[in-house]
Amino acid sequence: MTSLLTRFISEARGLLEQASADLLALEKAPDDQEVLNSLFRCMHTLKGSSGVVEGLDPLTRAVHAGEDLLDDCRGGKLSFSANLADPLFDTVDLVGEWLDALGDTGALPDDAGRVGAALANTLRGLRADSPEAAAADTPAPVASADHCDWLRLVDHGVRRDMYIALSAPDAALIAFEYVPDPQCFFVGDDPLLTARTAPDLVWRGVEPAKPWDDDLAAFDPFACNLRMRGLGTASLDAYDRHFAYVINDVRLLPVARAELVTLDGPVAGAKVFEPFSEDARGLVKAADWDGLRAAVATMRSVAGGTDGFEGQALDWLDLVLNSGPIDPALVNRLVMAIATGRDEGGETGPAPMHPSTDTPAGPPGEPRPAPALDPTTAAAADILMAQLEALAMPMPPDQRLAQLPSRKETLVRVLTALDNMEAVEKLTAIVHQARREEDAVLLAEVARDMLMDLGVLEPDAETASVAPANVPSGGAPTARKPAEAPSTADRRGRSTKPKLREIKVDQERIDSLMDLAGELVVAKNALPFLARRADVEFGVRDLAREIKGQHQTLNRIVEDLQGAVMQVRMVPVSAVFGAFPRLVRDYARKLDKKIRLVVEGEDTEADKNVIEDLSDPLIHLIRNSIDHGLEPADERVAAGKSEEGTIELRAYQEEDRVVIEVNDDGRGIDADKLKAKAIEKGVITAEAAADLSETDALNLIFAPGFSTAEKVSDLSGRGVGMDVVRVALERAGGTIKVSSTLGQGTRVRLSLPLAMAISRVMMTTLADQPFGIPMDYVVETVRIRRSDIHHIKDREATVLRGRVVPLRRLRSLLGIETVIDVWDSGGVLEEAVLVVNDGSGHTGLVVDDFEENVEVILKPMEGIMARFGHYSGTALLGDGRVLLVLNLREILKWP
Amino acid sequence: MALDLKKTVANLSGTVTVQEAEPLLEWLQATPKGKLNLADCEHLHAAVLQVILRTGATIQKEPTDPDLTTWLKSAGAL
Repeated sequence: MTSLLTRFISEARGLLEQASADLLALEKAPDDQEVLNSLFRCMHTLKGSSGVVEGLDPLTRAVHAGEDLLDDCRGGKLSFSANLADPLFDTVDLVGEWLDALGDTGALPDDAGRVGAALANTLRGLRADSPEAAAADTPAPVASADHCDWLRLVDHGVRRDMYIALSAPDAALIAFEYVPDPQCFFVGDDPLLTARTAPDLVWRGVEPAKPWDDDLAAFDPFACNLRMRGLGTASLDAYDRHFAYVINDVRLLPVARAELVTLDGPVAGAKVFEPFSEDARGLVKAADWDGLRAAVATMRSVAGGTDGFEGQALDWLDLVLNSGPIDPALVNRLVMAIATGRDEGGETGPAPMHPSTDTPAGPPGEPRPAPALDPTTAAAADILMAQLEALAMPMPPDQRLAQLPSRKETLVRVLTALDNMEAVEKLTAIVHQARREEDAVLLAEVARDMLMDLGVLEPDAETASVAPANVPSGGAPTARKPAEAPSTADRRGRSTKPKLREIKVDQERIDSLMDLAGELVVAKNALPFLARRADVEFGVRDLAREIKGQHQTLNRIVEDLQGAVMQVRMVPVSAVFGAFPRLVRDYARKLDKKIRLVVEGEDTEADKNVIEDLSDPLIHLIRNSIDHGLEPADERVAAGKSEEGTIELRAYQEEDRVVIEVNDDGRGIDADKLKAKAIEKGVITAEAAADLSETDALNLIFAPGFSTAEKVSDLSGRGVGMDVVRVALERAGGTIKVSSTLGQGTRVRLSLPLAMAISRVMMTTLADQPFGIPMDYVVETVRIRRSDIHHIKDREATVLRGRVVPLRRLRSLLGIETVIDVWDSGGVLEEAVLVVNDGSGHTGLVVDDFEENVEVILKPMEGIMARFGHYSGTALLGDGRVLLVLNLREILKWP
Repeated sequence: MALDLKKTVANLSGTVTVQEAEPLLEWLQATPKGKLNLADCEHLHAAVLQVILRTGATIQKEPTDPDLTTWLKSAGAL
C-alpha cells in the first residue's frame, strides 16, 4: 500500500469521526452554523484529499455530492433537517466501510461505483435546486431505482428461457438501463459501443430517450438522445466493471424470476376459467403442486392456444410449476390473475429497502377491490398469505430484521383496510420488540392470527401452509438484491466495532507521556545520590550496594520506556519528502528547466518535531538548487552536461542524528564571486575576505541579507536567504554545511538530532549553583594557569595549541559577584576554562568548576522567564536541584 | 471508406464513426428518398444511429452482423 493511501486512510478516519459528531450535533441543533461549517469542511477536505489518491473516484463523487448538499445548507437555500441527516450519515458510514476495504485490500469494493453513484444521486436529489425537491414536499424517493419496469418489452421467449435459466441455484440475470449524458459524444464516448460490448447479453434494445423534436432542423446529431437497455447473465460486478466509467448514467438491477412473468393481451373472462380458478386456489392453499400441474395441463388443452391474458397466465403457470423450485407466491399470483382477470404484478415483489419513504404504489399489497365474494377480505388474505410465507423463509437474522419494517408496513395497511386499528397498535408494539430481539416469529404470529380471524387459515392447517414456504417468496429478497449494501441500521450496528490497526493520539498526550518518562529518569537518577548517602552518611555499605543494584534494573527499564515513547513520535522523512516531486515539477515547468529529482532514504525516521522543522528549510534549499544551482538546458549542454539537471535528496541516520543532503549537479558556487558580493554588500571587509578559506567563503551565504541571484525571481531571492534556513535549523538543534565544486554542483548537508527531547549538557558550577551548557557547543575542558592568561586591553585571552582563544568570565556575564576563585595546584594558580564553539569560533568560558555530563529533559522557560533569552531552558536534576541551561549563542553576543 | 454517399444509396461499411454523422444527416436531408446499405457495417457510432432513427431513413440492406441487426430492430429502424 502506498504511503499516500495509508495517510489518506488515517486522515479520512479522523474526518469521518468529526463528521459523525457534527451530524449528531446538527440533529440536535439544526441551526448551528458553526457545526454546519465544520461538517462542510470535513466533507470538503475529504473530497480534496481523496481526489489526490488514485482509484477513489466513487468516494470522491459521493463526498462531493454531500459537500454540495451542505453548501446549500450553508448558503441558506436549504435548512438542515432529519431527511438530510440520514443520507449524510449513510455517506459517512459508506465511506467508513470503504476505508476498511481500502485498509484490507488497498482498493474499493467492486460495487463501489454503483453504490457510490446511487448515494450521490440521492444526495443530489435533496439539493435545493433539484427537480425532485422542488416538485414535492415529500422526501425525495430513495428507492426509486430498485424496480425494473420495462421487462415487458423483452421478448416472451427470452423471458421464458431466462425463467428456466434462473431456476439454477447461482444463476443471475442483470438488467441494465443506460441513458448517456447528452454531451457524452464530446468526451469521445460511443454509448452504443459500450452497450453492445456489455458481457453475456441475452436481450438488448435501444430507443430515443425523449421523443424527437418535430422540427428536423432542430435535430442535433451530437446531443445524445438514446436509451439503451439490456439483459445479461454475467455477474452484477461484471456489469459494474463494464460500465465503470459511465456508472452514473447506468441503472443496474438484478432481475428476480418472478419479475420475468408479465401478462398482457385481452382478457377473455370466459366462464370456462371459473371452475379451474376455484380448483386452483384450493390447490395452491394446500400446496398441492402435482394436483395443480394436472389442472393446468387439462385447462391448457381445453382453452387451447396461448393468445390472450388467461392463455399467457396458463403458459406461465405451466412453466413455473415445471421448472426448478416452485415459487408459491408467483403461482398464487398467476392463479389469482386467471381468477380476477388482472395481474397484481409486483405483489410478491421485494420489500422496499427504505420503508421510511413512500411505499411504492402497487406493491406490496395495497388493499384493492377484487372480484371475489368479499373483495377486501380476499385480497387481505392473499397478502397475509404471502407475508406469512415470506416470514417463514429461512434467511439470516440480520436480513430478516432489515425486512421487518416493510413487512410491518404491509400488515398495517391490511389491518387499516380491515378497520382493525386495535391490531395496528398491537403490531407496532410487536415490531418494536422484534426489532430488539431480531426475531420475526412474532410478526408471523400476528399474520397467522389475522388469517385465522379471517377464517382463511385453519388452526391445524397452519403448519402445512407455512412449511413449504421455505421456497423463497418470489425468489425475492435474497435473489433480487445480492449486492445491495447492507441496510442502514445494519451498517450502523456494525460500525460499532471498527478495526483499529492504528490509533490517532493527540500529540499532547504523547508529550505528557514523554514528560512522565522524563521525570522517571530524574527520579531514577536520585538513587545514586541515595546510595552515596547510605554509604557515606549512614555507613551502611550493603544497603548502598543494593540501592545501586536496584538503580541498574530501574535504569534499564526506564531507558527502554523512553526509547519506546520516542519511537511513538518517530515519523519517516517521507512525510516531508512526499511533497517535493510536485514542487520540483512545478518549479521546473515555471523556469523551463529539465529536472530529475532523486529521493533516497525516505524511510529514515526522526522525531515528529524534527521532521516538521525540516520542511521549510528543505523547501528553501530545493528552490535554491532549482533557481540558482541548475543551469538552463542550453547552458548545461554547452558545459558538456546532460540536458536534464539532477537534484538528489538523500536522508540517512548517522549515530543519533538524521542527516539530509540536498545535492545538485548545477553550476556550483563561485567562492570568489561570493566574496566580491559580500564585500559589496558590506557583509565583510576586503581584508577579511582575502583571509577566508574557500570553505569559510561558502559559509558567507549564511550571512543575513545575502543573495547572489542576479535577477530576483519569484522562487528565491526575496531577501530571506540561507540565513533563515540556518537559524531555523539551529533552533531545532541542527547544523548546516555547504560544499561546492565550481561547475559540478553543490551539496548542502543538514544534520539534526533524531529526537530533541533529551539533551546532553555539561554541568558547571558558578557560586555553588549549577549551570548547564549544551554538549553540542563544548569543545574541551582545560585548566589554564593564571600566568598563561594574557590581557588585551580590557579583554582576556590565552593561547591553546598555538591558537589564540578569547576568554570570557561567565560570572561577570551572568552578573554573579566576581570573586577571584583560584585553584591551587601545587602552588600554581589555575582557572577552569570550558572551550566552546558557537559557530563563530572558539571561546574560553571561565567557570568555577566542571561537573559531570548529564542527560536532561530540557523544558523551555515559561511565563515571565520566557523573556530571558540567555537561558534555553531548565531541567530537573536527580537530586532535586534545578539546572538552568545556558543559551551560549545569545550570551556570547553580549559585549 | 466507412461512408460512401452515392446518388440514391449511402453505403455504410466497417465501423462508422462519429465524424460520419453530420455528412450522413446532410445527405439524408438532401436526398429524402435515399436508402442505406448496411450490409458491410460492423458498428455504428451512437450519433450515426441517432441520425438513422431520427430521419427514419429506409434501410435497404440490413447488416450481416446479427448483433447490430438486433439493436437496429429494437429501435424500429428495420
